[in-house]
Amino acid sequence: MTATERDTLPGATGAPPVLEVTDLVKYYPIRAGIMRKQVGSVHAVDGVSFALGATETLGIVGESGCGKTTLGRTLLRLVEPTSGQVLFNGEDVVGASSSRMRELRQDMQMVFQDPFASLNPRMPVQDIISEPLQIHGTDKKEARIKARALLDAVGLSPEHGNRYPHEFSGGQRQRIGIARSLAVNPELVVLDEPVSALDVSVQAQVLNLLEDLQEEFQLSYLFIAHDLSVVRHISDRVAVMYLGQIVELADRDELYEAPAHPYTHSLLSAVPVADPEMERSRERIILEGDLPSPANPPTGCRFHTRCPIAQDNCVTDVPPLAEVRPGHWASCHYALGPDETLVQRVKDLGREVHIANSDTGVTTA
Amino acid sequence: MSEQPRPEEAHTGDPGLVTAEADAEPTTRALSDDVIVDEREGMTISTRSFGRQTWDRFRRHRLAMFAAALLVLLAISFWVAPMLSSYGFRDIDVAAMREGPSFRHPFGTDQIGRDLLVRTFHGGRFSLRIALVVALLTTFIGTVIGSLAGYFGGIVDTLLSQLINLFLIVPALVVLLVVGVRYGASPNGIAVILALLLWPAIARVVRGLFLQFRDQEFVLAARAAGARPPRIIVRHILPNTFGPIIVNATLLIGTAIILESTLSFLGVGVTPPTPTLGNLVNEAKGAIDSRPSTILIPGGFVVLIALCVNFLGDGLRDALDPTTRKG
Ligand SMILES: Nc1ncnc2c1ncn2[C@@H]1O[C@H](COP(=O)(O)OP(=O)(O)OP(=O)(O)O)[C@@H](O)[C@H]1O
Ligand code: SF4
Ligand SMILES: [Mg+2]
Repeated sequence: MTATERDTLPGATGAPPVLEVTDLVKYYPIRAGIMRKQVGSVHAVDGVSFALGATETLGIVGESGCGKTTLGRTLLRLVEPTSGQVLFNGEDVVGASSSRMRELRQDMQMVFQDPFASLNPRMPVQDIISEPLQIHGTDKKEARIKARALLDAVGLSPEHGNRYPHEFSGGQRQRIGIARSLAVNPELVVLDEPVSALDVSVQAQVLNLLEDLQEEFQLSYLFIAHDLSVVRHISDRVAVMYLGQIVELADRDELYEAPAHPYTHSLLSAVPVADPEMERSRERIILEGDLPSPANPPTGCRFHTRCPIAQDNCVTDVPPLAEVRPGHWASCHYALGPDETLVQRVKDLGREVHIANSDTGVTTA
Repeated sequence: MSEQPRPEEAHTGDPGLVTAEADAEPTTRALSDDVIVDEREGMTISTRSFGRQTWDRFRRHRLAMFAAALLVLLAISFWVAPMLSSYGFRDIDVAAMREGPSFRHPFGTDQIGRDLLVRTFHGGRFSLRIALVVALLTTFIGTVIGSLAGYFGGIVDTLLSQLINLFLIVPALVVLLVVGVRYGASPNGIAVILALLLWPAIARVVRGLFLQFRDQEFVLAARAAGARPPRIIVRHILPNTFGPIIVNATLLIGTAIILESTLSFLGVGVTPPTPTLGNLVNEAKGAIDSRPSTILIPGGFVVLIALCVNFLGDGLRDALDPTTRKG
């Protein structure tokens, strides 16, 4: 890959990136019949490119089923990619041998979505946390000592090391999962919806912990979430995914304040605002139609079946992920300007848009 | 972490509620002392280990407890009782052939004057030993093959599944008859043959369990930590499949007892004069009208053992079933 190409990766900053992803693709085969013949494929991740800088946090946001988990797992090769390139500190991950991959795993870790399924119910937590160390050659006694220190670091009592996962609450389990991911001193941690399964009050605690740990251990985070409000505080940059693709990627403040893609606009209009007065009059854009199946994604722009400002060419022409403003990438033929609202654009086009707010209910404007 | 001020209503509301809260208070405090965070969620879930919880649930299963006790009692008596008699299982008392129960021979004697009590208990010992060997061997083979097929999937699974299906469609009884008629068999020989015929059932169960577990997040986490397949199979997945495997192994003891008896009854099991419960029934079949007890006693033991094993298996299944874990 040439230097110029590398510079064009969305999200690339001046500093050398930890992670560079180019055209990553993961298709899951769909099989049917007794012969298990392949009859199609789920386009779970379909041509994702981005770069992640050192100690940076990139938020990945998208609806359920848009391929966030698959993206995270493919990056770490817990799922083998169909095609594409992943560079970790400049080193090819996809082509790495299995023994080299095992070494790389010390630097690339993951925190899983489900705090209940991600811990082995038959292992005491000190073994869960110290296992990665033991796999990489630390002797058992030393690994245990480190596990106690890690329990302490994530805010749990080291005395609880000999207990089993079922004795802990969801938030505590997620802390255990975080401790496990940090055991081997990684550089990069993929956080797959680390707080989605937790109560709101516990969410904030775990998010704070993650921020503290990032600073303490100089971590780079790929933070996956399914709504924009969760990643707002923690992210430096945010990428929005739709049906296996990144549709918009920008600095956090830029993305929240001046989104360019209509999909991001509609997602943002669903985020509640703190001010009750504003919340009452806030207009939510209601997307029409259902999320199309990733087994059979729409032609042209994948969002055209639900986009309120789609034009004829959107059905046939694929919009590239292009830099619409410096450092701000979006894939839309008719990207919105910094001060434009989606509702305004729709009205300008002389179309109807379904809007809901708590004062008037659903209306058509 | 700051404690949320408790709302006033909690104290002024239903008096019953207040009592409940007061009751709960000391426990919560005692546990939260050594919990640094998440006090609101608390460490209130029971701290019993899995083994302990399983045992507690099993104990509540009266029939299974009774069956287990009876099985232990039977096993002990099979081993101890023959020692108390002065007769060996091959010893012939020429003075007493075809006798009914007496003080010297409590179960009577057979056609050639061998003591039936000694032979029955020895027979029980052989039958039970065969059944245990069958259960262990079957479980071992089935677990190894099932876990490899389930974990690796793909071509490994395709090949092993074909093997499993091949063994499943072999008419077991016919094979046993042929082998038995041709070679006769020692107790261990019979056990091996039975295990070779029974493992596919276990392999299928274990394969299914591995399929279910191999994509679980904790297995992915082990892989992300750099664990190799042997470690993942042995340390992560197997311990989670012990429940169903133990239940199936238990039920196998019953199956093996009955199969062994059937074979021996048909004359193709363990070669006489070694007694097994099936052999005893076979030897006594001519006396079904004249001395029914010679058939009913060994036959009764077969039924009793098979029943106990099934009740025990049911109890274990309930106790180990994760869906009843919350108990
Ligand atoms: N192992 C698999 N085999 C086949 N299809 C899969 C597999 N895993 C995921 N998929 C499909 O791929 C698509 C993307 O799934 P993925 O789990 O990556 O989405 P997600 O964005 O993480 O969703 P969620 O918010 O629900 O976690 C979905 O349509 C899903 O059904
Ligand atoms: S390219 Fe067309 S369909 Fe796609 S988001 Fe832009 S306007 Fe909508
Ligand atoms: Mg997911």
